[in-house]
Amino acid sequence: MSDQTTIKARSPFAEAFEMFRRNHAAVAGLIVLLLIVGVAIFGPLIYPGNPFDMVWAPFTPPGQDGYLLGTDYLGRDILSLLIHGAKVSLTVGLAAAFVTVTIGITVGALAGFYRGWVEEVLMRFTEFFQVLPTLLFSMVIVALFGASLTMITIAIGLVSWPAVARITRAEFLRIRELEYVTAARAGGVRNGGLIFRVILPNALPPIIVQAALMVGSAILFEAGLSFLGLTDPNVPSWGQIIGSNREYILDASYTVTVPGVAIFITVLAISLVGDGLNDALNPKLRQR
Amino acid sequence: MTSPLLSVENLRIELAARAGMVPVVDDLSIYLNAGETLSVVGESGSGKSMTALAVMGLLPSIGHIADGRILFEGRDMTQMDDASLRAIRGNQISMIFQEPMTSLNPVYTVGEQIAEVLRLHKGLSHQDAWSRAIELLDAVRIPDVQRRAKAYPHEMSGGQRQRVMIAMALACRPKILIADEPTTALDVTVQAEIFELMRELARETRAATILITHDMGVVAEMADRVVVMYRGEKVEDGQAEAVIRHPQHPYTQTLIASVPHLTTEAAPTGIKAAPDAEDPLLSVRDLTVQFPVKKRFGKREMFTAVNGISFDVRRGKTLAIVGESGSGKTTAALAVARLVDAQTGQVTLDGTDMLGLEGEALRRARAKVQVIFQDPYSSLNPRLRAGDIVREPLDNLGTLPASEREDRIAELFDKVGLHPDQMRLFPHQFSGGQRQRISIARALSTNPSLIICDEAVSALDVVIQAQILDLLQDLQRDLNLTYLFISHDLGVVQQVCDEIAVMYMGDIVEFGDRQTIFSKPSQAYTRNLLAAVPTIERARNVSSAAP
Repeated sequence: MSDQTTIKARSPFAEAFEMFRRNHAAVAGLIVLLLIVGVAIFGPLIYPGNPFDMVWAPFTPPGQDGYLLGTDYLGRDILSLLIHGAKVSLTVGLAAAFVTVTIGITVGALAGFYRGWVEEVLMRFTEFFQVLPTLLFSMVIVALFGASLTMITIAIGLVSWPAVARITRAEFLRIRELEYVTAARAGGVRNGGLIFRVILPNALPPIIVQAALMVGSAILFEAGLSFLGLTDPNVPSWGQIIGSNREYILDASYTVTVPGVAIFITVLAISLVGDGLNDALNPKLRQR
Repeated sequence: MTSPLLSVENLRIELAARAGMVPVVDDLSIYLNAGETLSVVGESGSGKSMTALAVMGLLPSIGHIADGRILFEGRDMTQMDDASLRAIRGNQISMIFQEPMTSLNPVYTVGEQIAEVLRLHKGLSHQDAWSRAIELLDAVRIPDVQRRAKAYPHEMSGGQRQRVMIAMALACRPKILIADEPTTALDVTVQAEIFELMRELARETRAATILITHDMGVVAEMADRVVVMYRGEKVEDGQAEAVIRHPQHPYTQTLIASVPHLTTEAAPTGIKAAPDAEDPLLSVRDLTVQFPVKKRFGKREMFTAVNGISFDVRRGKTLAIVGESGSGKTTAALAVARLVDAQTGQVTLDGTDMLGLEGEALRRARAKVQVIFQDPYSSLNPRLRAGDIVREPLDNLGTLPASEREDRIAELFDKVGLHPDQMRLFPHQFSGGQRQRISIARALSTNPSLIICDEAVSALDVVIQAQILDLLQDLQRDLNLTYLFISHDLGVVQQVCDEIAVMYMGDIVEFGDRQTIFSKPSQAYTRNLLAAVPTIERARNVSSAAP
C-alpha cells in the first residue's frame, strides 16, 4: 500500500477547478464574461452620463463625430446605452437563473427524495409548466402584472424552472440509492440533513451547469420580450435597445446589430463557461 | 512449434496522469496458442485489464501503447488502421466484461443486441440474425429462450446477463475470447455454471481463451497456462499446475495462500464464548420483508424478499448469513437495522423492540446498530473529508461533547489502522482497502452493540481482503463486538464466523455452527454452495500448495 499521507488534501472542487483551467475555450469565455461584468460594474464610472440623454443627431453612424457606436433614433449614445444596459441584462439573467434554480431544486429534491405521491403530484405540476408555451405565458404574466424588470425576471424564472426540477429529481433518484446515503441514515442524519447536506451537494454539478446556461437563456428571453415591447422603457437593457430601434432595422441596422452582438458575445461566453463547468464537474470525464 | 495465435511482445502501455505519462504495463510478453486457456492473474491495478483492452484496441483515450507489438496471426495489431481493427475486434477476438449490467445496452432486448452483432459482422438478414441469436442464447442455456430473447437486460439476473454477454462474444465464432473477470459480479454457484459453460463452449468452438482473474482458485480450475502480473509487470508464468504447485515469486505465493481452503478445523480466531450465551444480543422472529413491484396498468404486486425468518445472534459472536444475490440476506440485515421496512415480525436488539420504534426514538436507536457496506466507492460521501465521514454519526447520535469528538475520531482512525493525519483527505484519495477502513471507523463511532457487515470485503482484492478480515477480528476481540456478517463468499465466511445461516429465496434453509455447516451440510443447497467454491485442492488435487 502506498503512503497516502504525502498527498495534499484536494477537495473535489479544487480538482474541478484544475480541470476547468485546462479547458481553453471555457477560460476564454470566463475572461470575456469577467470583462463584461467589469463593464457592467465600472462602466458608468469610466463613461459617465445619462444614457437617455439625447446628445447628438439621430442615426449618427458608428465612429462618426466621436460616437464610437453611433446614436439611435432619438440621438442617444448607443455606447452609453450599451454600458448601462450590461448591468441590467446581466442582473436579469442572474436573478432569473436564481429564481429558476430555487424553484427547480425545491420541487426536484422533494420529488426525488420522498418519491410516492409527493413525486407524482410535483412531477405532474412540473409537466404542467413544461407544456405551457413559454413565451406566451411570460407575456401574459408581464401584461397582467406590469412590465417592470422584477416582473419580467419572475416571469422568466416561472417558465424556466421545470428543466432544473427534472435534473435535480433525476440526480436525487440516483444518489438516494447510494450506500453513503444509507450510511448517513444509519448514522442518524434526519431527512432534512439527508436532502440538503448529504444528497444536494452531490447533486449540484449538473444543476450548476444548468444554472450557468440558464443565465444566458434568460438574457435572450429578456431580449425577446423587450423586442416585443414588453419591457420597462425607462431601463436600458440590451433587449430594450433592440426593441426601441426595431422600426429602423432596415435604415440604420447598427442600432439593432450592436446590442445584438453584445447579447451574442455574452451568451456565447456564458455557454462556454457552462460547458467548461460541465466537463470539470462531470466525474466521468475527470481523469484520476 | 507453430507460431502462436496471439503474441504480445514487450508491450508497454502508458496512461496520461497529472504527473505525466505513467506506465501501467511494462515490458510484457505473453503468447496464446490456439485452443488453450491462458489465465492472467493479478490484483486490481496490476495492468491485466489494460493488457486485454490493448489487445482489443480499446484502450481509454488517456492511454496508449508506448512500445511493443501485438501480433494476431502474424499481423501487428498496433500498426493497423481502424477499419482492419474493427474487422478483427468482435469478430475474431471478442471480449466478455466484468460487469454484465453495464456492458449490455439497456434500451434493446438481448436478442436484438446479439442479432445486431451478427448483422454487422456477418451480414446476416434480420430474420437469420434473429434465429441465430436464439440458437446462441439456447447454447448458453437461457431457459425459455424464445420468450427471454425479447427481455431487456434489466429483466435478467446477473448470471443470465453474463450468459448473454458470452453468447454475444461467441456470436461470430471468434478465435480468441478474452474474459475480464467474467464472474466477479456473480454468485459462486452461478460462477461455477458460467465456468462450466465457458469450458464446454471453448471445447466446441476451439476458441482460445484469455481469462483475467484475481482468484488463484479459478486459475486452478480453468487455466492451462498462467501469467501472474504485479504492478504492470509479469512476475511469473508457466503451466498452471506447475505455478500453483511451486510458486516462485512471493506475490504468487501470497495469491495462492489467499485462496480459501474449505476445512473443518476449529476457527483460529480464539474468540471466547460469551458467558450469557442464553441471552442473545439480537433476536429475530418471523421477519418478513416485501417490496411492491409495479406491474402494468398500475396494478401492484408484492415481492417477498424475506419470508418469515427467525434467528439469534449471540453477544460477541459472528453470525454469517450466506446466500446468493436475491436470496434476501442483505434485505434481512437492513431490516434489522431499520434501513429497510419490514412488514411483519419481531426484532429485539439488546432488549429494544426495533420494529416498534418510530421517529426520534428510531433515530436515536440507530446508534446501536451500524453498517459496513460493500462498495468502498459508493459508501463514502465524496464531498466529505474522511474525518467528517466518521464524525457524521458522532454529531447526530453520539453522546460525546463536541470538543472531544476530534480526539475520538483520531482514536478511531488509529484503531482501524489509518493515520489521524488522513482525516483531512477526501475518499477518492484512498485505496479500496483504506476506504473500507474508514467505513469501519464510521461504524465504530457510536459504540454500536451490533455491526452489520454487508459484503464488507467482497469488493476488495484478496490480499487486502485478508487484511480487512484480520482487522474486523481484532476489533471484535478488543471491543467485544457482535457481527452480523452478510456474504456470498464461503471462503470469507469460514474465516470469520461462529454460526452460519444459509438463505435461499427469502428463507433460511439451514442454520448451524460453522463446523457443522462446512463438514456436514444437511441441505442440498448448502452442498451446492460449498461445491461451487473454486479451490486449488479440488481442481488439481494439490495438497498444501501454499507455503
